[in-house]
Amino acid sequence: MSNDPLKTLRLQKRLDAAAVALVEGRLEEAQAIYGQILAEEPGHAPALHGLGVLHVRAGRPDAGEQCLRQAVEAEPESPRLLNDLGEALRLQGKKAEARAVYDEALRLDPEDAQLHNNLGALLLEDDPESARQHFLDAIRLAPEDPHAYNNLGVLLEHQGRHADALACYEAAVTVDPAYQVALENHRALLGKHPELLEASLNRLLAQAEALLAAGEAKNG
Amino acid sequence: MTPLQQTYLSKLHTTAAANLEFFRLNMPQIHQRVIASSPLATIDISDQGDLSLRYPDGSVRPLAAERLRMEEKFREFADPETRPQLLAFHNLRAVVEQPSHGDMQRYHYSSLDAEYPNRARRHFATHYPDQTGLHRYPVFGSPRTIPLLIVLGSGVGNHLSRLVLEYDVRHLIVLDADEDAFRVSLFFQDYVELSRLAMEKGTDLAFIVGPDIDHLTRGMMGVLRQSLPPFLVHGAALFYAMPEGETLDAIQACIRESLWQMYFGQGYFDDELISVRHTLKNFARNRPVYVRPLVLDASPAAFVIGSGPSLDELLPLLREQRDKAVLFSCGTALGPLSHAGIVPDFHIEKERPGIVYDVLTRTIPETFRRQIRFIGLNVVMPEVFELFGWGGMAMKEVDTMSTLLHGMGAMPRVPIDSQPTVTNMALSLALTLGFRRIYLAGVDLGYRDKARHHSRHSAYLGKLPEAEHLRRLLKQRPADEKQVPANFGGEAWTNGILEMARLYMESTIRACPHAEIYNLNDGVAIAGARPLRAEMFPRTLDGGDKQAVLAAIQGAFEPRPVDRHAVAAGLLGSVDQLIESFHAILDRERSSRADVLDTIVGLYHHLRRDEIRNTPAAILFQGTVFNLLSLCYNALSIIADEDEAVAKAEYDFNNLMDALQAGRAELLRVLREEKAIEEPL
Repeated sequence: MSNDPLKTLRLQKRLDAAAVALVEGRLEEAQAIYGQILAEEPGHAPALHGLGVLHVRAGRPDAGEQCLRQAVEAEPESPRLLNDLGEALRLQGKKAEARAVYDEALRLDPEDAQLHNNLGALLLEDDPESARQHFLDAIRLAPEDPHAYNNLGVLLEHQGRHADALACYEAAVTVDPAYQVALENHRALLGKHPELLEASLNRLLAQAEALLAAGEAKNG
Repeated sequence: MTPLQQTYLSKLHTTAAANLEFFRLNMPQIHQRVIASSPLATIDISDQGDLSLRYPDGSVRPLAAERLRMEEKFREFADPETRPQLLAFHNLRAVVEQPSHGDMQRYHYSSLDAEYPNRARRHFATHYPDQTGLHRYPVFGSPRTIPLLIVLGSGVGNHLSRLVLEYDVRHLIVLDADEDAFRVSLFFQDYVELSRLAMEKGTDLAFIVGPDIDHLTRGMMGVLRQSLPPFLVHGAALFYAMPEGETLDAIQACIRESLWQMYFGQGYFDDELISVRHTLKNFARNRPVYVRPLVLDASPAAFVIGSGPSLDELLPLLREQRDKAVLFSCGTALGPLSHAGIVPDFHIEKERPGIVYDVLTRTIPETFRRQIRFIGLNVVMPEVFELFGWGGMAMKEVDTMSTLLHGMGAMPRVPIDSQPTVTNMALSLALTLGFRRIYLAGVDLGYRDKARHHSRHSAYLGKLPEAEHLRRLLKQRPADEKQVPANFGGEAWTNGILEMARLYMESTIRACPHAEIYNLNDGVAIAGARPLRAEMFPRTLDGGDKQAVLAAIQGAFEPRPVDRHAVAAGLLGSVDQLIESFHAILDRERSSRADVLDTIVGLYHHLRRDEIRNTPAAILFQGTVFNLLSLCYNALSIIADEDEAVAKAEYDFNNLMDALQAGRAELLRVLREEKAIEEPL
């Protein structure tokens, strides 16, 4: 019997602990766990994946790329893994390689919003029309995720469509009021174009009235 | 009596009347016991309402003190560290390197019953090399989760309802050896409410009441076997609602002694595989089968001869009576008979391994054997039948091949109790043939003298075979000795297997009340078999036409052709169906210990269902399944982390299914070797 659920469970618990440490910024602790797992199970794809992400977070995308490529060798059909490899390549400026990786990931899972968003970010400067389409796909697939709204706002701002860009930043903040990047972009754009303030306030007012009406309807 | 006394007593009487009616409707056997018992204790009530129990010896137990004592028991019970439990640990790290039958393996074919339990053990030892991550004693998730609770004594008060309310108990068994104490409890315990609460909380409730402690524990085992896997006795919580003393000690001792029976006696795959092979060979050799019972219309006498120590003293009697009665020699009794030059009419064997052949060929001269007719179970090695002048075959009950052949309608079923010893089989066979006067000789089912547990000339003590492995095997004696009433007064030693043989023999005798069974042995008393000393043996025994009797017996056997291809198809079909049904039960997500427990109980119940347990595959695999589930349950009960406990169980379930598939492959191999399957499947 090759499958040992107890061994798998114990590994998963260690991977979970490493992932929590990674998210909480305890990178040394996470790295130690991944290192132990890889010492016991050389080539263990989930551990290589985690370690790759850790290197990217720590500003070492080249080391991250190395781990992630090994992980992809073991699990070539994992869109999540390809996504993170694409990010490591993008951060190193390896745009063509990154695009190929994202394309492969999207072939495997065309409904992954994060992949569309990341590919959009990669293409933002070189192929803005494709980038726009990927951001729109990301918003369609995950309307609760603020990142694609913000990125679309950046694209539109670059294209000089300031009013539309401002509306996108507002949409991002509406979805996640604590999303600092979108808040900052919104503030900066209004600073540069104070004439947009009135339209922005009107939108806020309309939203407030809609909320009020919905509340009244609910209370009878 | 004051109005308080009157109304309070009236309340108690009303409770008792309601309880009695409840038992009459739902558990009539308990009701009968209460009605039939003679009241001993009386209830006293003071003018202030203080209750106490007064006993015939003059002692008095105030009930308020009794309730306080029960509260103390509750506190002790609430803490898992101090809660009494029955423990029957497997050593989960002890990989058994010997195959299933130890030294006997050279007579067996399959190591499946060793291999797969070993896999479970190795897996455990790999992940838990020491006590880290393990409970010292069984825990089933929350301290309030109790799969099996045994309450010793019915007590007074509401403790049973409280136990059901405050704990998640799956099975509650109340044992009381004191019928009067149970009667008194009817005044204080609301059994009607208890049963409703139990139903609401999903607790199975059973009461076993009676003064015979052996009967009490057998009753408990019976309840366990019917309702849940017997190995759940491991980790069973105990609640003592009876005073400490001899009775409680005796019940505890009896439960401990019975524990081993909960774990064993479910059979081995290998035994069943041997049955398949030997039965196919025996049918291929056109062996006559016992198909026609009650062939004797007169009532000739028969001797069933075992190799117990009394046989030595009974040899002169057998020599004297051999022309007047039919002599059935059983197993190793043939050695002493051969030594004494007494030729039995029939020799009986029931065991399947080749050791039977080795012992017979090495200890009994061929010229002696050739004078004897042989009757063996279908599972007996085919070559053994050929050692005798004539050989007939009786179909074993609860056997893979017998079940299949009866199910196919290939032959009529003639039930013979063949367990656990060959003398059990011989007695049952003689009764089904129509003998109505049977003398048990050398059927001691025990021994007076520990140093002399068998006849001097049996292979056990005297004429040991040459080979060292046989000497070792035959010298083994069970260690679980105890004393029981002897046939001619006093006490005799016995052990677990012989005790079981006695119980089964008594059951066989009870089922045939018209037969006269005489116990000639200075061994264990057998209920239903009248003690008869050799010197009191009736010298006027009339043998009638013994040759006609022998011919009639042989006439009860006739060859029956069996289509071996149909046998193969039937066996494999049954196995595939069982495997598929197990897959269906296992094919669900389990995320908690309770889920795993449900699955274990579900698999066990499935195997015990009427339409499953009498299928060839269920008999083939029941021992393997039972053993592997028992190991799984044991690990489940001590692994501290719930997720890990579930994951370990998943491994064990996969291991179980692998074992079934491996068993199927071994069966296929045997069927091919026996030419029951022509083409590789």
